[in-house]
Amino acid sequence: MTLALMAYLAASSNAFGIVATVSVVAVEPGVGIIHELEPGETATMIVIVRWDDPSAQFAGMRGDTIASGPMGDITNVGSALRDPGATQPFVRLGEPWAGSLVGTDIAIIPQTFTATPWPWTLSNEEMQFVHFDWTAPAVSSPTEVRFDFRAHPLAPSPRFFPNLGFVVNWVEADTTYVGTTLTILPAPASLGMVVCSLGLMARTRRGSERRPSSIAPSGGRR
Amino acid sequence: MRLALLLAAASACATPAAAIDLTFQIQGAANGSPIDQAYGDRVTSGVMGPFTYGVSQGFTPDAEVDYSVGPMSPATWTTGYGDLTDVLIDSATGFGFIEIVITADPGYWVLLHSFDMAARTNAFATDPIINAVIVKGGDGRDLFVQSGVSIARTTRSTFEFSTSPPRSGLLRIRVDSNNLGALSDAIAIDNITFSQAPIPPGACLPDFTSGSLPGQPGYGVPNGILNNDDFFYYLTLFGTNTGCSPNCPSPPDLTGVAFPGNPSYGVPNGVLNNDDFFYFLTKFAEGC
Repeated sequence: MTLALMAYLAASSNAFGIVATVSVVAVEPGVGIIHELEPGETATMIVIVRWDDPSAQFAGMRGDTIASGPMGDITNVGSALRDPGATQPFVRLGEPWAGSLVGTDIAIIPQTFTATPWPWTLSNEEMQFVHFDWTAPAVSSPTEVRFDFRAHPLAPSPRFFPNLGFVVNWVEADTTYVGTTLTILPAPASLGMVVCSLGLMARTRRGSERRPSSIAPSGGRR
Repeated sequence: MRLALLLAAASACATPAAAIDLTFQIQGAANGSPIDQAYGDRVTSGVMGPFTYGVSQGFTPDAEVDYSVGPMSPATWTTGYGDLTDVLIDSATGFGFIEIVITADPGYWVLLHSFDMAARTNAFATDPIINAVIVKGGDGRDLFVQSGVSIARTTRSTFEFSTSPPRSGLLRIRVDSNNLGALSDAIAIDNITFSQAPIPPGACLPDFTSGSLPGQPGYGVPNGILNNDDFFYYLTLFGTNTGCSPNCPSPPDLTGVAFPGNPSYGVPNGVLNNDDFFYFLTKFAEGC
């Protein structure tokens, strides 16, 4: 088999059988993974890539982290893959737009050309691809916001450099995408107002229910 | 050869050979109707079925237009926005984002010449100020940014790029009026004039391809967008041609040495080695 054919097969199919998972998680420092947040509170959203072949080096991925639901504020976009000393154009973090982080596009120089690979690119158990802080908007009732990583149609899966020594090649992994949901709970003060309102309504209702009995003919209950 | 390239580049920068105007005249569209995603695609006539376009200098058979949805709800409206008629708005109340994406076929780029905007006349006492109007290229770079933009409520605000039209294989026109709160849907865009032109050979050295997976449309054809598809395409070329020296094709053979200043810098020498890869990285980092 010629090198050219090997390269074609590698690029056109996942000939090396790497299986990957791309997950979005919401993390609160000191707490861990969370699924609930109050308005004004901030969670760190992290896109994590895991893959099953510890000898493969992460090569790159492209896509958007889409938020579906009320629009929160996105700040502090970053990536563990951003090496301040490296050529920056290979790390496009993306930017907030309409409540989502769009246009993330990261590619890694293969180990073949670097004396030392970036450690994160070998961390197959939990490599942080991109992260950002997300601050929940005000809501009046518990509201869900869904976060999903959507790979670009032209580059539908994360790419890896298989452990093939000095052969420069890359493969796309068979990939599962797992999103997450955050429920925004109205702040306690709002909840208190809701509880008060409900209580008032209940009292009013009870009052209106009692009133007929109180004005019922005295002989109504015998 | 060099003269031919210069002439090709000059012709691409000159007045467009083909330009259309998205006027959002769509037969049967009622106020608030979701925009038909086919409107603006591959325009070859001033009237195509229910769609009408302004035609200033020709057509755009090699370009498509998309109107981003998701949280956005792009819709048409007839009147009430300044002196414009038939406009595009984001009908999602309290949201206020419009994104129009114009994509050229591989081998072409699109050029943006102008567009108009207006605010709903009866919604504001004075011209409102919106967050931003942005035009981005396919590689994510900002080609035009204006923040704190005043939008005319009785006439129109025109954005004109005739002297230096933004161009790319993909253009995103973004309007952010989210700061207007419940009135964020009271901002409209109209009369988007764009053209297409072939990408001159050698216009951008590291732009080698549209997609990086063999078999994809545009594989190996420049698309005026420098992104990681070009990186992975080059890696494939590099891997495929390993062992080709001393008769390597170009690309992937791009240079004799990777250090500027040497006479063989940027001159293919038939040998494929790390110098070619790092020369590619340098050009990629420089951008186009």
